[in-house]
Amino acid sequence: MAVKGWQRAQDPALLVLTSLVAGPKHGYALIGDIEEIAGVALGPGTLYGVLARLEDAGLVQALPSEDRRRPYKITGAGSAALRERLLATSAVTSIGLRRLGVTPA
Amino acid sequence: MTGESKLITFALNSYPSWWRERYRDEVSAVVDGLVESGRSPLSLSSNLLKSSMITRIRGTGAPAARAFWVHRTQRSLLVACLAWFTIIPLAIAFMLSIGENGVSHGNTLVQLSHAGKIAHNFQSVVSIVIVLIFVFALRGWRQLRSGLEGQTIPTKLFRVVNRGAIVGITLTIAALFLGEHNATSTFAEVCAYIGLSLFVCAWLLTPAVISQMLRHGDLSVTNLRKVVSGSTVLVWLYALITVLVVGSEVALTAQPVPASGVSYLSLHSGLGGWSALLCVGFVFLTILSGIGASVSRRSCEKILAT
Repeated sequence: MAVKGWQRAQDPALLVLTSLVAGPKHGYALIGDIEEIAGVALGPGTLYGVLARLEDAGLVQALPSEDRRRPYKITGAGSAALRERLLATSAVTSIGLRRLGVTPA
Repeated sequence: MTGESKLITFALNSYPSWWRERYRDEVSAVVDGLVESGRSPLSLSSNLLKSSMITRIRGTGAPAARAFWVHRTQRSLLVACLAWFTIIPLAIAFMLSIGENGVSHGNTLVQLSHAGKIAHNFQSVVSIVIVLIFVFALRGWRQLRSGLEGQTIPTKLFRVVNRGAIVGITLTIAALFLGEHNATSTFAEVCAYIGLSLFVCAWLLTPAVISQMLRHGDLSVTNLRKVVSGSTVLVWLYALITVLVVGSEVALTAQPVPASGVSYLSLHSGLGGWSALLCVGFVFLTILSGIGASVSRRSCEKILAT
């Protein structure tokens, strides 16, 4: 139960950017990838809310598409923002793990 | 079309037009894929509905054009101010509905219970807050008018409403004086009815006047910010009134039933079962005006950023 609650609290924007680092993806592929890497089943409304915000901020970019499935790619600013965020998170993570007495694999 | 797909279509249509133009086809494709993979259409619809509400409030993915955000600020301001027109009559109905009744046996001291005293105090504070709301609303009205001064805006409706309100108030006050003499009491009654009807009509038409002024006028950002701040203060006052009214109704029902033969004084609400509906109305209007004020504040910030 606690694990489920924790997963729900994860930031969808971080998950979307992390997924897009591997390469451009359309909405359905993003949902599948995020479920695989983080175990979080994003809803379409949540995903497109995040994509719209990230697009507004210039962190992701929509690519041209001929069908209904439009792919998105992470921009240079998006990669920089993700790197900054992950480094900040990893610093907290490593301190937390050390205090818990857990050695990272 | 099944009920579930109708629900999904409804959820997709609940998004604002700018969002639908840009994302609707894509989201529709994703939803089709998710339904095929076994996701519940009901949970997908609820997720879309929740997100559409957030999108409307935040304006996510909206065009960056200044005119769009000015228009959005004006419309949300209207939503924030509309509650005022309903909250005031509701608050007055609440105050008029509360009365005291008691039974005295002998010369025993008659007192209100602790809960009754709380209800009584809350009712007094409600009247103070109503006066404050009037002051802030009038200030906002003056800011709005001064901001639009010198501009060509349709003023026909404004003139009708303004004169209707003035004549209504004058007739009502005249009826109060005339009513003191028996010879003119029927005439006073007619005056009071006409005066009150005119005032209520003017009151109900005021949102349309404000809407017209906002739509056809070009408020400067400085004035827009002032009106936004005024509407935020009003929302806090609505919230205060709501807490007081709900608290008072709870205190009224919590009054102890006195033992037989004991002198008592208790407060009672003339609204009976309607009190619960009144409380729901207050909460709903506070939320509605809160959303309006929050959207207008965000939109105003966006105008400043563009």
